[in-house]
Amino acid sequence: MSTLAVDPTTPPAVKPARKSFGARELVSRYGVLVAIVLTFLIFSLLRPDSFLTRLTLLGILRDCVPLLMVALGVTVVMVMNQFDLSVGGLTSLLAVFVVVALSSEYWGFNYWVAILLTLALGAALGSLSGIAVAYLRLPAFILTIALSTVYAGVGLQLTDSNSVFSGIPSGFVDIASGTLFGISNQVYIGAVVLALLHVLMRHTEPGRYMYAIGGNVEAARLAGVRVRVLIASGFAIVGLTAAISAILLSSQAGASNPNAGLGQLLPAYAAAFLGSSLFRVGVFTPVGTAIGALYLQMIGSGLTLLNLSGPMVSIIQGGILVAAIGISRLARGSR
Amino acid sequence: MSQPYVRCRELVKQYPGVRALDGASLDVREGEILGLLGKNGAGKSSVIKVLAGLVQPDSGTLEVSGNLVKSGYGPRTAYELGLAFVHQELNNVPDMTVAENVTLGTSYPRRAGVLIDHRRMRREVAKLLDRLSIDVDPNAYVGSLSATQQRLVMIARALHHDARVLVLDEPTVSFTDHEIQHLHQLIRGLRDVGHGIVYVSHRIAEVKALTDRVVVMQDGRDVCDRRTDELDEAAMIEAITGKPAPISVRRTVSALDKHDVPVLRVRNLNAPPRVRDVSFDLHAGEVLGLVGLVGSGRSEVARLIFGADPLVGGTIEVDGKQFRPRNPTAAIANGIGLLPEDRRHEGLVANFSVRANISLASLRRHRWTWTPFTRRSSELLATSRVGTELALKTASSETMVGDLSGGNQQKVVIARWLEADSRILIFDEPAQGVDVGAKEEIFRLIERLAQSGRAIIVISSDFSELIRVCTRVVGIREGRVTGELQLPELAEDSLVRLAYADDASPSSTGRMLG
Repeated sequence: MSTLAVDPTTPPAVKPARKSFGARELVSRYGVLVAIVLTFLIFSLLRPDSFLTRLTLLGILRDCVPLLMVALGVTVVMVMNQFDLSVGGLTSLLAVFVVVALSSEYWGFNYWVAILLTLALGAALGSLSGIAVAYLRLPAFILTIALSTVYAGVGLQLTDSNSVFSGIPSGFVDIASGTLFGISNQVYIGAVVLALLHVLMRHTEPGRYMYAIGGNVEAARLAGVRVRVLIASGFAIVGLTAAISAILLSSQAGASNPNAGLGQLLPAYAAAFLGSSLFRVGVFTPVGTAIGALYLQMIGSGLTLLNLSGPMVSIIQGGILVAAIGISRLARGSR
Repeated sequence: MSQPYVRCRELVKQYPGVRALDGASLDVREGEILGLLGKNGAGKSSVIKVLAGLVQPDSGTLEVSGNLVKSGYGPRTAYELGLAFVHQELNNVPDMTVAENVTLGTSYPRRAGVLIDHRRMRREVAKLLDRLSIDVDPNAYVGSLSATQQRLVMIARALHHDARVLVLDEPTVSFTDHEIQHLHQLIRGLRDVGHGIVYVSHRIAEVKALTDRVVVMQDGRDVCDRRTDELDEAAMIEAITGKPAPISVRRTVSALDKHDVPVLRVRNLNAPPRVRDVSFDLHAGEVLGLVGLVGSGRSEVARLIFGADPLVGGTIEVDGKQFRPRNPTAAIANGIGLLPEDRRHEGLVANFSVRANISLASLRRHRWTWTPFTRRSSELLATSRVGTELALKTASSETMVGDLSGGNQQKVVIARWLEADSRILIFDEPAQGVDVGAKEEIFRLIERLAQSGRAIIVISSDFSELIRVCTRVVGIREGRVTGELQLPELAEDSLVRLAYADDASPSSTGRMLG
């Protein structure tokens, strides 16, 4: 297959990866896949009547979408070795904002206008942290944590900490609750966003540059890559995906919930990390993240069917994140 | 004469492709200042690393204080045996005070066995600084001090624990004459109270003035061990360079019309303190060498032209047109390409394929028309074309670039710039970490690129490499141009003079020393 000048007499300078598979390599390579299959089997065996049904499985597919949106945005910045921990607060704020914008009790915009405003606000706030990180060189970690609490606070303030139920047109609720060919609209939305980001990261110039920045930021800069513009854009994408997630959450609930997004931060990162141990180890990809998000949702739904308590679910999800990080570390070490 | 405190015998250290030490022997005596000389890569720093316990030699012996050093000798043991090191890099903690830095890693004075007694610590450090006549406030934050003061603080730190032997690696980089005098006085004082000193420096005049004995290293071996007063500066230079290396065949300067507009014209480039008033011209078809020691500012000049570092003053013209290199993107658009010194950290994206590394600076060419989507087939075609041209050896175009040999990695970076249509190529240490055969191949490639009309700048610490490939050489020392040499004058000793020249005033040829 080689198209380059390959000299048959000289062996490659570095031998290809070891052929023998150690336990370490096995775990790092296929650990997540094995875990997914095992989990699926366990739930199927324990709850054959309720887990293995069309309703449950489609439900998993549907319920993972809001998380997937945030996780996909997070993936884009993680590709560039950046963090955005403001997604929790940002999603909460935007979830309230969209309802406030469209509710006849508040601003009463047409709900499509409200949706556009929400997307724009998400992108703007994301860009803001992006500019602060890329151009002002503020440390992303602490900056985005701080912003998260600001956003969450503003979200609560908008409605005096109340949930808004009334004045919401049914058209808005139908966005998340409606179905097409028996499958929730959310699944289609999730698939479209996933496809867009997959193409962006995998098949476009900016996507290639983003991976180059993550691989070696100085080499990328010296190859003419506009590092700062791309990092700022990455944060803008996080803002957009947080907005989509927020719109879906509010539409699904038919109400505003000022705490809607706070629980998404950790699972979003867990999904990205799980995904990064799937294909090429240590490389974050939208498709990997999607599989990670599905897995987390499957566990969430499965544990509910097993009647496990909320705290139990969070213990297990947290444990999975630790395991995912450990696996991807292990995988990187063996390279 | 007293028994040497440190005694190295026949040290050998082999790295992949390089024999860093090849039978080096060295004695360090108490009450003596030893000058350690040698070109870059002659093995000076390797010997020091062995002494410091940072590197284990493959063979050879090391005795400290009359005891043979066993395996498991590390930085901690070196420290306990009374060896102290002031390395070239300023590794101190800027956000801590002078007193805290001086006592760092040594046992702090304590109260009640646990709490650090800050007052006593400050008093002790003040006394030490006073004894060394170092005029620095123990309460000042180290980050607020000048580079010179920071180095003095590091010397104080090395001496806080009662070291018997103090090793100073290039301690006077960025020092003024006055500061050098002060440091030398301090060192002589230490010798007179019985410390042994190893003074590593490129500055021959300083070594001549300060030291009692000189050891010269060449190719990982000690080639000269004499009392300083038996050697003059010229003899030291001769010992450093050894016999002139046989100059290999080649030498065709492509027709070079000096009346042409230079491809690159650099005037009064300034970015103090590393680069001051650097001017030169570069013509098409020319291979211009920048000769200078590590830290002379030669790499900084390259980075300024490429827009990698901010330019403070001066003008750059490309093809007679003013060009301000605001960032690498602008430089690339003007046909400039840089092959950085640190290939791994600045040149390559290790977890990218050969293909993606090559197309990184020219990806916009591989798009479907009017779309942002990249065309893999077009990338593959380009990779294969340029790969064949450069005789790039790789298992496939999808091989991770980190898995290639040094020489082939270098070719990948060259290929990137050829694909980006760079007409001005700056090679910073192109042969570093590349084995001998690949080295020659890269030189031939550089010549071919020049013959095809590109203009080339080569930076190297290895004078024989510059002699091998350059048609003209500009010397740089302490950020200034020291002179210029044309092809027939290029020889190891003339280059040494350009690089070491003590007088930094510009002149048409290198000045004679001593």
